[in-house]
Amino acid sequence: MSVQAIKSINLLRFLQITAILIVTFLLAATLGFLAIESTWVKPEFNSPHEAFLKGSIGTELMPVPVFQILPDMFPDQFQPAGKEAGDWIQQFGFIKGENKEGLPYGISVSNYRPKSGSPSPVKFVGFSCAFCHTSKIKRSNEDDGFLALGMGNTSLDFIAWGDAFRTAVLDEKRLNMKAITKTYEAKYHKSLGIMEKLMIRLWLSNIRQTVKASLPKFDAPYSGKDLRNAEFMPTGPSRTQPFRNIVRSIINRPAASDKAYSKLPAVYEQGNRTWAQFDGSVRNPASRSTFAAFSAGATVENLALPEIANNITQATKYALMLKGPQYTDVFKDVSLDAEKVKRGRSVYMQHCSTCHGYRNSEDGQWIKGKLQGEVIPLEEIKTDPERVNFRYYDLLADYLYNNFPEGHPLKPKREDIRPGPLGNTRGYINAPLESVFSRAPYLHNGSIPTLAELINLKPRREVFYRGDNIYDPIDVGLIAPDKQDEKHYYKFDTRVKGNSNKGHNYPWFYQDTGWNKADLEDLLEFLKYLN
Amino acid sequence: MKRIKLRKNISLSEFVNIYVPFGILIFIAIMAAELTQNLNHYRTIYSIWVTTALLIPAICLYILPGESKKKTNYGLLLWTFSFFAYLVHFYYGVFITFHASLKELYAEQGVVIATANLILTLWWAIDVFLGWFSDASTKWIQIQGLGAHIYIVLTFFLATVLLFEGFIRVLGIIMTAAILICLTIRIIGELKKE
Repeated sequence: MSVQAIKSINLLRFLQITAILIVTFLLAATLGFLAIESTWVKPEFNSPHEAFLKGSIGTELMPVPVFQILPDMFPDQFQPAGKEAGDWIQQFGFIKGENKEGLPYGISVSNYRPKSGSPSPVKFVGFSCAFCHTSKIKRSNEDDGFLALGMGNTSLDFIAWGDAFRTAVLDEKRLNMKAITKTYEAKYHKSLGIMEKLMIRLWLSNIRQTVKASLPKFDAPYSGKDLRNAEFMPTGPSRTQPFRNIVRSIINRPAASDKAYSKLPAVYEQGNRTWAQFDGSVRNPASRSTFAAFSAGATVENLALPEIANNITQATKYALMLKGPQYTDVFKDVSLDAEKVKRGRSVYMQHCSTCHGYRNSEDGQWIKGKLQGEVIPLEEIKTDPERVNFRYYDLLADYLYNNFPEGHPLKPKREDIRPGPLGNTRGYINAPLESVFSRAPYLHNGSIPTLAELINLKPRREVFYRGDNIYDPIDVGLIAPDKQDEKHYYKFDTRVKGNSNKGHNYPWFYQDTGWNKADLEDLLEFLKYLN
Repeated sequence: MKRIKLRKNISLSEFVNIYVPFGILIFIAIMAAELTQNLNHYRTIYSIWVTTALLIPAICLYILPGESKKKTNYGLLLWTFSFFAYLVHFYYGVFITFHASLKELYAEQGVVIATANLILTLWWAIDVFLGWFSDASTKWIQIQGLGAHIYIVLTFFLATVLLFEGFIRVLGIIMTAAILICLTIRIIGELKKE
């Protein structure tokens, strides 16, 4: 063999060995990267209180930097009433947090990517249980408010905020990497890191694709001033459409005809309830929390992650024993008339306790009423029917159950969901009334702002305005004006489908047979006291 | 104890020509998933793409006529590295997605598909092992090898062409077409011999 040939063979061999080494290094580097990737998430197994306040429940939505600057990039969307009406937190009914990142209350931060729960090198924001189930009870616009953990947020307009978000995502001209980077640097006087830029770019591409793909099914989002128009955004503040998201994600239908508006409920003392949800459709408390997380954007996949599953079970544990606020702690300047309370208790025991139970003043336990926990048929209770008559009512329970695979840590038992083996629920459940003064607005769809109207001491108004309503300690509930203004922008028309304020006319219809004003005033006084 | 002896004489060139593309493809399969929001899901998908891509020439070399050492070696190398790519898919599918739980696997895939997949994994592993550490001229090994190839091809055909959609179906169709072409060549070759 010639010298040249030998040299060629040796060169070839050298190149081949080099190629093997490079590829081997590449594979080793991949394994190393996978090892590093596994450290991006450091699961925290929170206590019940921490899990409720800030634990991730699988609702991750966007990277933290984007969440921090999106309202600045889109003031037309996130301050639709104009800058004078307050910042985006105020205009959408979020609660201001006390953290250096400027994140509102009830925002969770984690290293999970949206939906999948895959690890991310960059933090994402999501919504904890406290996001929906914490509220501020304010006596005036200047009042900082009493923070009530477990109370349904009375001003949160989450569906409208969601549309503002989707509008921003679809705006390719204004929401792009260049604009994000520039806005972030201008606001925080520091640059985004390489990983942050990479992940934001990746996230933006994915979310934009997802939102675009959903347009034929869910329609284009509303935007700007339309977000505060009840004609276009019928859900309004302090309410959600809990079945709409579930029907969309599990049954893959638009749920366009869904008018099942439900207020964000208080979650005090869940241990006092055997069956819960307004229609008594879910028995297991952990399943209630799981379905709530699911309707807020969690997936079967990320709910299986140990940290997230733990947050769900721990937050549930928290709500089992969580006591609602006491009227006298919130309204320290308002004293209750002891005689009226005493008389009111008699009225309550006569007309209300059978269905709602009462508090044993000696040991503080809630004593179950004879009919407490029973589902009262629609024909009898006559409150708004949409929640129990929506199109997929008969199918949803099976879909929900089958959606969770065998072995899933949060898989519900079929018998814990109704309709199912343990009956139907075409009606609304008699629930206990712990801290009833803080459960405003009233009825499951939030169609009655005050207790005075609920018990027919005062006439139930047909139209009123909701938004950032301050609290009325006299009529016990929200001050909902008859005219629109900056803070009270949402026209709640009880004649609109899903908004009915009819039904539950106990003890008496307004100014009808048996109606006793004095008794009702006493009852109202007692209901302030009932905690 | 008798040492298990590697019975193949693979040249450096042969090894490099298969190992390097395998390594690059697996690297891409794992890292490309970082560009998505669901790492496990896409690693499961991309690794089966790599498996199928390597399986096609492996099967073709198995079917095509000829007894040359080069053909045999390349066939074995492709078969082996296709299996390694499949093991990556198996890891992400079974150990990550189904949390290494046979109960979850069977609940999600059903008895038939889950069992077929487990048989595929086991049989392929055995065939790869026999391919490297046994005498290929032994009758029962040849019959077993034929069975393994038929079973694996049929399973891949059912999965890629009939059950799934998207790019994997394209690969499945390419695989099917390639097999048919190679079979035709083999049959014509056999007929010509006669």
